[in-house]
Amino acid sequence: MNAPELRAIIIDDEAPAREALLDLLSAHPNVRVIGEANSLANALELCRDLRPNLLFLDIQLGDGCGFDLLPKLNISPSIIFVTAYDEFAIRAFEVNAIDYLLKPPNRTRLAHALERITHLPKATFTGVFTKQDRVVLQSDDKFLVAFVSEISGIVAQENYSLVHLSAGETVLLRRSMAEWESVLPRDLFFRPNRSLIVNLEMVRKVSMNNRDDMDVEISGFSTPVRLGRKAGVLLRRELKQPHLL
Amino acid sequence: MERVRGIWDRIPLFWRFQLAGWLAFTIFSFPSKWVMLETIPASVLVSLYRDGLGFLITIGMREIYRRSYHDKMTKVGLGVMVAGVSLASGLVLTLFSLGFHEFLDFDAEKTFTPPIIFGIFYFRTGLCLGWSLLYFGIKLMRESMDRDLRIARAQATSERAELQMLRAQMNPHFLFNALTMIQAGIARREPHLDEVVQSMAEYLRYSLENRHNDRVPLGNEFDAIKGFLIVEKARFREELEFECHIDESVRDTLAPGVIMQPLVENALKYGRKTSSTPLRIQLRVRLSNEHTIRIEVANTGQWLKDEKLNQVSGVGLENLEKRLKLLYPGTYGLRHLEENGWVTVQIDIPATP
Repeated sequence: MNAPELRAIIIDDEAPAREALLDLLSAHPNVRVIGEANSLANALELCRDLRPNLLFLDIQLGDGCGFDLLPKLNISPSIIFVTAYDEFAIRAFEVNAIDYLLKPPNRTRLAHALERITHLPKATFTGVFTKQDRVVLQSDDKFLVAFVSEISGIVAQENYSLVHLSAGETVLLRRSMAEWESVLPRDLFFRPNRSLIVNLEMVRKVSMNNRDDMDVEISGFSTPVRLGRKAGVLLRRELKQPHLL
Repeated sequence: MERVRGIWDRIPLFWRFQLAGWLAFTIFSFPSKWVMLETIPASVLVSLYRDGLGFLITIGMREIYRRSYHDKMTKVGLGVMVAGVSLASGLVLTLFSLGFHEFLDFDAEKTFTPPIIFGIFYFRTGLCLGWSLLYFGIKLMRESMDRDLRIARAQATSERAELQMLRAQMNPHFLFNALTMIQAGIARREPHLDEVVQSMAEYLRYSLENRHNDRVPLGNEFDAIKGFLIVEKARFREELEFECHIDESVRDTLAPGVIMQPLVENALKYGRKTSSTPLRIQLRVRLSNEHTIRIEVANTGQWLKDEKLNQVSGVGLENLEKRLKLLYPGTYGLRHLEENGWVTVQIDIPATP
């Protein structure tokens, strides 16, 4: 198998943890570790200087959270998150490649993760997210990590979809609304028409505009979304449904 | 799939029993009325007004019971109330029955001899009594089922809390990172790894055994925390330096099992954020005067004002202060100071508890 060379940086604040990974990586000649960082600050510098195409990224670092590195990067490397203990699963959706390893790292899981990254560059999650999952969103110029429950709405833009997060950020992904609909949890997200999927807990206000359309105010959206009468009625009905029991 | 709820399911339980019960009574007592009155129309009429009245008066009884019954009522009190209400209702029912017969101009004198009147009164009162027994039987059964459910829920909640507490104490981040360090150490044939593994075992054993214990010799926690720091040193190597000291004379003093741990965890967590490298940590347990033991943890970081310092793995300073308040009311001390590049947290407890 002619695997492409991977230029990797290991980011972990504990030297023995970096060594544990280095030891396991010695069995993979196609992975060249070009740098090691023990903090977010060092990692950012190394990524700018060395332009790696693979990161082994510890989530809990002394000076912050590994996810905080991603929005600051000007490159889109593959990422293998390494974590000692995390209550939340990490899901990839429209990301070149991500995977994650639990500590202590294990030979088989590492081989599997590298395999996925080299041979399935479009590997994405299949199944349905849960509210507590973290999802990594990557577009051509941006990387975001958010809890699924922080996605406030998704608006169709031709073949793309614009994802709005509750904090106000947006990211444009090469994903269809149908694909989104199939992975988002049904008890939280609702699609009133072809061009909008909305997080029901993020709807602030639905106001009748005139006889034919309604304005929906959603957290994280700078302007209200206009819905036709039928879609508005569907959304209102969905909002009235008690989500208890 | 949710069960479709029909109209019947939406009717409150009381009304379901009330309707079904009286309907059944009417149907099953009809033959006896027929025998007594001889014609069907008369029997139907009598059934309607008698049982209709019974239906109405038991609704009234329910109102009385709802207003007067309470949790603290004794069995005797309940019996007296039920007997009184049933007698009164039986009387009312009987009087209405007689009045109604007169109104309809049945041949009253022939039918209503005193023994028959008493018979009607006796039967109606018995009916009201039976109704009351059913009412309270069902009510008390429901209440006890609700209580069982509440107890089961409370139990589940406290077990969850216990589990969270355990998880916080075991500190999964510490555990798995320590195992990673040991894995790397094995691969590289690191010397002194046996000491690290022993220290970790000592710390874990102490954590498991003394979670809720309020009377543990200070020396035991000191040794466990020293073990914890040895493991942390192996993780962070030259980035961490530590010193531990305990006056031998205070080793046997009994104290709550978890005092030093939150202080040292805080020092590590915030020290690593704010200290220059290497981070230095000192743990000292000393007799500061003949009445007071001072437990002191210092690190070379800075005091973070906006951070919630009490949120270390759920067993933080706040929790510690609560326990100290309970165990040493008015005699403990807890303070922090920042000088010469060191942040220090001091806890004073009485030397003789």
